[in-house]
Amino acid sequence: MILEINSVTKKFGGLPVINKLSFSVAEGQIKSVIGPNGAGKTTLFNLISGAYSPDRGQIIFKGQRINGLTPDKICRLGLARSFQITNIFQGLSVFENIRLSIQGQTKKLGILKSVHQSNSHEEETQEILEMIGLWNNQGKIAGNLSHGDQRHLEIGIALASRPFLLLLDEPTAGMNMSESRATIELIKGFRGKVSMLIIEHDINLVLAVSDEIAVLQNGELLCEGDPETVRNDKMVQKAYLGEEI
Amino acid sequence: MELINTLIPQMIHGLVWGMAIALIAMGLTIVFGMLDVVNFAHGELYMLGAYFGYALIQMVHNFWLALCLSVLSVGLLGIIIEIYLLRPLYGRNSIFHLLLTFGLAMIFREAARIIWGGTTRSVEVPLSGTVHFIGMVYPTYRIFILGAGTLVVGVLIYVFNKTEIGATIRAAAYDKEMASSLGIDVTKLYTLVFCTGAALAGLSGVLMSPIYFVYPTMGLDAILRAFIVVIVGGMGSVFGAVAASLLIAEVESLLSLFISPTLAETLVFGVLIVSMILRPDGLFSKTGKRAG
Amino acid sequence: MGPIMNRTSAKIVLLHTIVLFCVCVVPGFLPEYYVMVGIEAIIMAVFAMSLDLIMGYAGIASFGHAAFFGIGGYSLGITIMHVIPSIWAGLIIAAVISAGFAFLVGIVSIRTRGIYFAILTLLFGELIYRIIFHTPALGGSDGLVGLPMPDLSFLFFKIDMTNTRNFFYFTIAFAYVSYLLCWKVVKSPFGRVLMAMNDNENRVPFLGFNTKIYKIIIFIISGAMAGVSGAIFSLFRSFVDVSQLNFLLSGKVIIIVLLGGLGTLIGPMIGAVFLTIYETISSSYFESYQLITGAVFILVVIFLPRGIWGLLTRDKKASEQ
Repeated sequence: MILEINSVTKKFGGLPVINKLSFSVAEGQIKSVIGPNGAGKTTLFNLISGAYSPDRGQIIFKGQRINGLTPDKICRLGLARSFQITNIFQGLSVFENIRLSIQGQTKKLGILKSVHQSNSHEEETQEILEMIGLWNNQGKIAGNLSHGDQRHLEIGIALASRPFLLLLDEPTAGMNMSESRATIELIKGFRGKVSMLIIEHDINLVLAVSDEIAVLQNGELLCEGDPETVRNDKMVQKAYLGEEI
Repeated sequence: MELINTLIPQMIHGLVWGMAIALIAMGLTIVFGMLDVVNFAHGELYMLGAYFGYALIQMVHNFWLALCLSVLSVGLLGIIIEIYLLRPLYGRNSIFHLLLTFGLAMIFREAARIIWGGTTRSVEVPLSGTVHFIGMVYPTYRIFILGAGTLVVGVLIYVFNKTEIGATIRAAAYDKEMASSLGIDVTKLYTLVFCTGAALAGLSGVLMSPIYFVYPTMGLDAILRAFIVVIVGGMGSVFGAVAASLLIAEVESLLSLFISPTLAETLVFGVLIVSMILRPDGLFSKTGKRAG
Repeated sequence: MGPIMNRTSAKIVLLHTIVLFCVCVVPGFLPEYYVMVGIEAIIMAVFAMSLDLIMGYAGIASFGHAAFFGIGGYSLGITIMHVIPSIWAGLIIAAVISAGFAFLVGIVSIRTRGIYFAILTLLFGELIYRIIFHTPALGGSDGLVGLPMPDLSFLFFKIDMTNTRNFFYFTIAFAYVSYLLCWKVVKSPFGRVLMAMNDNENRVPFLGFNTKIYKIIIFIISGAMAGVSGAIFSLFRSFVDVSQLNFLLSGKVIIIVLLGGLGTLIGPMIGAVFLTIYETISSSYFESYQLITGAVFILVVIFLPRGIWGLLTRDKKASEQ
């Protein structure tokens, strides 16, 4: 198990947003988290990535307890996340967005060094850019990209950290059909290279890539299993109320 | 017995000073809580309240009328500032709001100095006489300030927590997109809150002018205290602002019995630093104000 | 990449040489008074540049930056008067002490949210002002007067610093070295992270960077640079008093940075020169020049956030894209 969530609870102003939640992600697995709005999915990601600390419970990553650690430490341990609302560096170039993420994995501050001296960053950056399909746009200012490209950049920044576990928060948010399909292919391409935990509303993506699906409702785990099991679960069908899964 | 005779009036002095700061700090903190703007010119609104009051008294010869008109004027000024100066900057890096209000403060200070000169003005105490209690005498006007201030604080807390408009304001402060999509006119709310904040500062200025005089840099003194208060009390917390104001004013007041007032002031900063080390987010701040 | 790089760096070296040459020739033609104004302007320029490091690149507002300027001045004053009459010693000690203060202010303030930091800089500035004001050993409101002006030992020479022109060249050299240092820091991997923080601070920790450390370090560098500027200023005037630390000066340098152009390094330097000249001229002509400064400042904040230099170089940046 690369990630274990053990009985985690998180309250906001007395209300439990995540309630005694337990599940895990196996190494090499692609697992999706689905659930109605307000089910606590993004809060879960915030807890795992260190933006929040759980009130109760533990989060274990590669055998190490990470709840309570700061986000930068968690990222350095090999856990990276993308954001539901695009959170890129709008004013910087596409190249710089990725290069920074790669720099984030080095220990040195490099105050008086020259950026051009870091040649390995250059190569790695080009690699990632190619992977996410933005190699041609690397000189562009990130804020000028199309929405779909920005979402890919969003994923790219997380990927550039060379994580063991990648958290993707609604990677296809706001995308049209063709953009979504491109993203699905992108994610499929990562299989085997990195474990993934994906929050999604797009059922097609969920079914196309997931090894396992976890369904969240009101901060609790409703059901967990492979796509077939989840699809046939009565409680899940009730939760989605007639939505075709 | 002698000690009590000096101690209690001094403590009440502290409360009065605390009330002055509380009104200012409340204005500062509600503007921050709602608009995410730290108004560096807030102290100058306090100053302008006092100067408007002073000028209006010359014209209408009635303190209370001047008070009302002054508060209205400062409120109106607040509306103008929000609409024409702050609005263009929403969405930009918050540093620009800081800089804008900072520049505004400078302009107000200079304007006051040019219009009314650099000498300190005084305003006659509107309620003369003293009140007797526990075998001591205390100036009536200062007691009035305590009463009026408590009333205003009470009304505001009531409005914020128990009325519909208060709920609307709190909702919009918590999540402005959500409130907007619910049909709430967030733009007008912003103006309303800023206007209220300004009016509070102006009110404090006029109320305190008979005691603390009127001079162009009085806004600076006020804003320094107000900043300390909102940091100790927690930005966005009205309760914190009031509590911290009283705390800091009392500390200053009681210390002045033993050391010089300016030194007492400096020690207050010491209180701040201790508070920063113990509770970086303020003693009463609302944690998790906005998720993520 | 090779030949293009050389051409650009050759152009830059040429540009720098020309500018330096012009600047150095100036004192030969002007009366001493103007050279003195020039010295003051250049010192302010470096002070402004130090503020730009944190405000323009790291996005941290500092409303009490004069505190470091003043601390540097007092440090030099005390060193030269009571410890060792050496300019280099004075400058180094000024740098160390202001860096130390920046560190203290930094670690206390860094634990708070961004907007608190700005307010805290104001409050700390005031605190430092009051402490120094109330310390008799530092001369109270009169400050330290009658600072000696020892000769500057440079290589094998002893330079007479009471000569205004010598002081001018010294100040230019200081300004140039400071500029190069800032440039190096800003362009380095460290500086890139600062710019990312300025763009979107929330995301930066999730890339693996401890933003607190970055903020503290740049704050220290900025404080040290401000301190050395203040030290040179005190040396120049042969006295140091509390007017070097007060809120008015903190305000003035903010205005300079903004007018010149946030995040451009050169902008604030130009802004400093212009403002110093403007102040020298207009303060003798009309009372309300500060009012005009304030009004222009507000207009710049709303309409010209990148300042004058930002406006001038905007087209150049677009073509480099």
